[in-house]
Amino acid sequence: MTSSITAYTPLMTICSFALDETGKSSADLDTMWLLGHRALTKLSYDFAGQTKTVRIPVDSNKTVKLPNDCISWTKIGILNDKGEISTLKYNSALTTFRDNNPSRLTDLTSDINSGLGNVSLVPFYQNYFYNGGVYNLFGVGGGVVTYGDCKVDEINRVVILNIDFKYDSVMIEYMSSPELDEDFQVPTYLQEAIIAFIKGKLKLGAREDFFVEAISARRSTPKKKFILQTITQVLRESNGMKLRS
Amino acid sequence: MASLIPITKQVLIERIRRHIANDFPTADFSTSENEVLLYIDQALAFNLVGQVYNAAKVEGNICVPEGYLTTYSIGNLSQDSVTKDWYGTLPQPPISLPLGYSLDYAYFADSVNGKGRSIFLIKQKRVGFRDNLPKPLGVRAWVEGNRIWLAASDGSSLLNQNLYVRMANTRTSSLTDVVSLPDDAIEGIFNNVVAKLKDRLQLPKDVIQDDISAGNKSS
Repeated sequence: MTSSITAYTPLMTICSFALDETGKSSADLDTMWLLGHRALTKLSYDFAGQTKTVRIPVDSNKTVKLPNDCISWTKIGILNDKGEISTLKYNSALTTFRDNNPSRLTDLTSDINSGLGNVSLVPFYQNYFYNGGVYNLFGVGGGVVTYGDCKVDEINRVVILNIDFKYDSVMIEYMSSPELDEDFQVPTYLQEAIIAFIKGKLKLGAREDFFVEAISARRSTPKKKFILQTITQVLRESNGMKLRS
Repeated sequence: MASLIPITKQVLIERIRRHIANDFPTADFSTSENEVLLYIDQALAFNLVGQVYNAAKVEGNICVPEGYLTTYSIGNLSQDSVTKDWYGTLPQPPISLPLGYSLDYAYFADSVNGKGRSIFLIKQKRVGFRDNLPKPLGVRAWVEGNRIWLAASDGSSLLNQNLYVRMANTRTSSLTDVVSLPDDAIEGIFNNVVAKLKDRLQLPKDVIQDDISAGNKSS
């Protein structure tokens, strides 16, 4: 059975809805599509970005290029044997110096030695526990086992890894911008918000209507809804006293 | 169903000539068919635009009465060797309504694949900056006089694509061609042309002023 109501709707279809509603001519469809494009941009940054996970090879200078459609990243890690992403430690001490240069590793010439022998030369701050002793290690967190460190350089659009990172690729989970393939495939719950945005920009509707529709769309987001499976899972996994079915 | 008598420009001319000459046109009637045709073409377009705005009073937004619309096969396109844009020749320059009303529908079609997706019509004031903005996948078109320009969003070739356009037409290639014309438009065209011809021909009028009292009469 087919239905014209599906989880995703082409942006052009939504814009044609707007065109039909406003009684404009077919020569306004292109303008409508551009306004729809702007609405989709805004909604994607607000709340409607779709999560995407990719595996990206590590470049020889121990950096990873962020995907072009990455609005904001949510998880950077490596894959374990259970199919889970084991996240890397976000280490803000990692430098972005020459991070988009192939010779990054050789350009990172150290001024000090961060080894154990230099504890007396640096401020007394020991942050690493290993085998019964505490040590001073820059750039390595203590207490949590991680498989590497990372930092994201948003300007150069790369993930910086520690210089001795051991793995060939990293998993990146991120909020993606909509992708123009045949057309933008828009989550259908955004339909009315996009139409309200178009009408508002054409002065055929109030600007506030867009915000009302956007809030409504956010509430309608399928994954935000509390479904029965979630409730039963909470009951099953929690230890409190409750009625069980 | 019996076929209806078509309205041609010849029919319109004949009716106007009989009205003016008050009989079958004779040699005394100094207006040629071509001259009347010019008046008719002018009145037809003028009447069309007026009817569109009248329809807006009912609809709330402007729309062209369907009776005026005709779909033309423009045929294969040519490519400008410098700009690489493609172009075809329209049967007439569009009337002065905005694009989307004067020319409201364009598409490619062939006997194998049928009708293609609609072409995006770009109004003239948007052509200059349209390339700066993102483009939906497809072909866009803009009009200059009787030339329609086209370009694909990805720069694809439009060679051997058969272009069809639907537009409000006011011209015909001969006097005997059927005119796309709603019947209620004939009255407006007739009155417009007759008024102009009376003015042009300086036709004498027998004015009977019934409301003037008899008064003193010399006879």
